[in-house]
Amino acid sequence: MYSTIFNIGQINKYSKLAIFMSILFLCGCSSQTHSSPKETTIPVTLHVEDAKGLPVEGVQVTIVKAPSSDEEPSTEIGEILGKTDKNGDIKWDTGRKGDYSVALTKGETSVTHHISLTEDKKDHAIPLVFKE
Amino acid sequence: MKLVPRFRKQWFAYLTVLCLALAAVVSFGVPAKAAENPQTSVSNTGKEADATKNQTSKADQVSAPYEGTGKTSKSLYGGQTELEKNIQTLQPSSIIGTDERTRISSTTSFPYRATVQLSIKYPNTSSTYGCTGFLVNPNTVVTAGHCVYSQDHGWASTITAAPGRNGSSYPYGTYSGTMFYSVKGWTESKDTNYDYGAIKLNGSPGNTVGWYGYRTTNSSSPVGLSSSVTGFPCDKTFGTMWSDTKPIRSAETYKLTYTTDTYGCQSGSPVYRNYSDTGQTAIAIHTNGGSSYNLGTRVTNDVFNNIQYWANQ
Repeated sequence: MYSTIFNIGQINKYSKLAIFMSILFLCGCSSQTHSSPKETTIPVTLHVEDAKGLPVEGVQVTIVKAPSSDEEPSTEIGEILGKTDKNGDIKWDTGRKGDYSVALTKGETSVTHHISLTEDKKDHAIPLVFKE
Repeated sequence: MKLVPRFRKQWFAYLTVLCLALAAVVSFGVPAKAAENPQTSVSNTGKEADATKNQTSKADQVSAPYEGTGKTSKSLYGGQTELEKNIQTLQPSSIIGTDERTRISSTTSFPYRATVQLSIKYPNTSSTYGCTGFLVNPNTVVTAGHCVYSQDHGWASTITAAPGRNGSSYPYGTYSGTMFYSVKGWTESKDTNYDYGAIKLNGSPGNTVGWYGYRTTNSSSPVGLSSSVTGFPCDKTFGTMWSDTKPIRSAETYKLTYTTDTYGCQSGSPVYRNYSDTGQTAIAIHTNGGSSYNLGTRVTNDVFNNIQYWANQ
């Protein structure tokens, strides 16, 4: 009888630990399900200029994510930002860290650039040359 | 006196078992949800349906194309020139080797007129997104899943479709999407193997422009078959149609790969060929650009059944 009570007592000690571990586990599951951290955006200004360094107005700017590799291909949807203003500028607020192809088109002319968006470019202007 | 601590001990033991059982339910509940059929159709209105029929048959399923009347409502060409000045400072990644895309100037000929340029708006973003799609019946456009449902923004808020667009010319006008479809494998599991969807239009341009056929490729491998990818790449004059033709590189269970040149805004383009028995028929839906090859969602039995289901809605 003494032996049985002793064993139950031992289980009781471990049961407290088990309850604590279970609660931790449940909290872990809950956080895994509901809070996937999202990468923050890096807002930048894309500045389009000609070969002489003069701003080019009315250039349509489209952003496409560049594939990292064949194992990580990119979806071929294009984000059409709109047209550059009289200063040759257009805001891009939705980009996240990574490599992108930027397509510049005006009339029948098109130019593509490859850019890497990194934290140090945040709130800065990225110059892009457009030769008409 | 000894009964009280014994009951307390038993109570703790029961509570432990209860907590562990609860933890097991939570942990095993996730895979149980994942076991849901990823091919279950979902719409932006929340409607769900299982259109798949658990078919294991190796016989091909085929939906025939239709050429339409081709009659345009307006003047066809808005001063478009055939020449393109393309200055490329750096080769985009989904151009494999030399850029061999050619511009389609006769966008009112079949099957090009059944190819649709898509302008997409998502909630809480000022940008417009560009994709391509293709008609499969009078009022249904098939496209990539990520063109109707974004992992960042959810379902598209508005989609405008322009069949046979040629730069600033809209020979068949524009149509609005009234309902968007994809499958749970894409919208819930974010699995690229299920990246396909459809748009119902507020009119029936397919009666005029026709539509692509679509088919499975179960009975013989499509590897090596010459296939085209036609769409509206956004590195070219805006709204112009371009195409390239190359052999299928590989056929996986859910994907076809090819070295056909593509670019952004071509997601949702038909990967198709002119079959001797079925005519212009899509065998995949273009979705991704890679470093050395591009890829699209293969028309499997389940994809075929869902497209057919969406077409019949």
